Amino acid sequence: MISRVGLRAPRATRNFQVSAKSMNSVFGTPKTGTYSNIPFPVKTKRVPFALVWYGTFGFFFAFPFITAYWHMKKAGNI
Amino acid sequence: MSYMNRWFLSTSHKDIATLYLGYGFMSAMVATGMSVIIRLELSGAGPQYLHGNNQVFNVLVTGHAMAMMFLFVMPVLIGAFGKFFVPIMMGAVDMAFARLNNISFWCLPPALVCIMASLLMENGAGTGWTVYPPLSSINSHSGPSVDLAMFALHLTTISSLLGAINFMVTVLNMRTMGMHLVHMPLFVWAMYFTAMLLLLSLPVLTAGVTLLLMDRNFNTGFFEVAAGGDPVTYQHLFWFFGHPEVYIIIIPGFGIISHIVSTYSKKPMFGHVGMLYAMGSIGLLGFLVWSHHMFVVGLDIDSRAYFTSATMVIAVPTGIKMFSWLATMYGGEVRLTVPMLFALGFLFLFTMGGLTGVMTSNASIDVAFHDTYYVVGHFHYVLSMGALFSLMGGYFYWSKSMYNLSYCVIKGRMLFWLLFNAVNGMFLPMHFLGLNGMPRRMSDYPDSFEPWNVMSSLFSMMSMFTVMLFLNMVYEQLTGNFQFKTKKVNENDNTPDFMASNLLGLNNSDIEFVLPSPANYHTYNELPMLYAKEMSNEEVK
Repeated sequence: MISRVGLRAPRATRNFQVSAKSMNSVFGTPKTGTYSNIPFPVKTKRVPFALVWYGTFGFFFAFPFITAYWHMKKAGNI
Repeated sequence: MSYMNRWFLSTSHKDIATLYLGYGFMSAMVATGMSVIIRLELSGAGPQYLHGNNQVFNVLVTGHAMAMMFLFVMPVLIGAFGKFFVPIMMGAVDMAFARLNNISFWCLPPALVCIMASLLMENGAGTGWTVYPPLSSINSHSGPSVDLAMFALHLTTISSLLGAINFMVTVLNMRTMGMHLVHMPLFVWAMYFTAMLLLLSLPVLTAGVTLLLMDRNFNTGFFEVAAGGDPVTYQHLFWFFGHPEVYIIIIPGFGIISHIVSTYSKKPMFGHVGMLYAMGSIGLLGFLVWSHHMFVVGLDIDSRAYFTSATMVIAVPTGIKMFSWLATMYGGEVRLTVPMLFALGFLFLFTMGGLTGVMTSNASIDVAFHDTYYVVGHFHYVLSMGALFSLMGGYFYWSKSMYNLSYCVIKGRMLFWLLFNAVNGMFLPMHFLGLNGMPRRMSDYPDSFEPWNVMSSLFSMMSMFTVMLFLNMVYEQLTGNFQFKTKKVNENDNTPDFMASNLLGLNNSDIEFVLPSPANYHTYNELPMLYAKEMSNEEVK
């Protein structure tokens, strides 16, 4: 660490931006462009995206309804 | 770069912001589901759908508030928009602590799991989001539900504190050359003030909740009257956090609205410096007014006089902001785009909520209003319409820049008008119910309250349809299949591009629209040089 600080000290320019790019050689170049920064596949044909999309949000929307039903069933209300 | 590295071990502020956005929308669905059940149960006098199981009603009220605030609005406004645009607007390569940024996000999914588990376990946490003892004590809620809900609060607190530290260091240390503090875009200032509020208020909540956990699990008696404790101490600790929390939610919205109003009025923000001082004043005053939430616990008259006066003072910087937004639009070339519609809706509805806030700030009037639906109506006007409208406006303003995916403008306008009518129809009657004395957090009411409740519930169903419309819009945005593709729509109404927003030549704002859409993984190859118009060429060089 000390040697790295010593190496850096004489530099006058602020070129630390390069470090991020050089890391690409380790982790690979990240994709850029439309759809590259979305963590799920949209244009896939394996599973229809509509099913994934509405299914996910539908599950979270339905969760309180399931909870309420479960509580009422447990308490003997229904 | 593997999927694991990019999305689970991410150090990119833009990718982490995307995760926040998706997470926020999922949490929003849980919270919306709860609100729908609450309004269904209140759609008529007597037991409707919950078969007289009032604990379930209380559990849903608690979960709705916690999920909306801690798991939806804060992650989206601060986590998604803040973490995406603060580094970009300042010309920074990323957040100051990139890995801390990742940890901030990954504290949140367990919080959602804890909230969902607390709903299911034993009788659920029917304490309200305030978790007041003695209702939240071991005698009244003996199961693990309350503990889980508190653990969820702890997790969101850790997430928010790490995020706040990150924001503050980023803003103070990573501004690019030529970007002075006072010239920072108002959204960056908003996030900075929000981070300060988070940093100062959240530890107090953590202290209060931890003491409560110890009372529940380790036989301490901080808030147990029988052990010499005082439950009012908890209320002071809670509201010392709880009131700044209101501003934590709304100040990022202020920043977003400033950008939208300025862009679509084609004018720089009126009173840029005044706006940031107003935000700072609101943040500071937010720490000095907490006891207006507990006027009826038996405060002495001097304290009530002070907290009434201090609360009313907040109307001054809020008024400065409102008039500055109006002055920005005055004489400008106002374009009624979808984000601008949401911004205008925000201005009207937040003012309405602010006015009812002045009413409730008065200690003597609050004796009548306390714990009634008037308060529920008031804070939904401020939050459900203030924070939500700014959030929606922000999404439509920036989603093209974030993902290079256009949305259907016609559906966007439909969404605004449906939501505007739905929230007004849902929350305006609550004021009348409150004035007539209907208590909040009750699953039943006398017949005389039925008409306004029916109206509120009907408009709640309408708001549910707007949520479905929004999901459909985002689905179409992602897939590119517009239902109204053939209709003639001016693309400039949709995209707040560089040419439309004329700020770049005037100050350091709107750099996000100059970048490629979506921005490159490494946003800047070289640090951008930003400068204000008043700087001379020599200064720029």
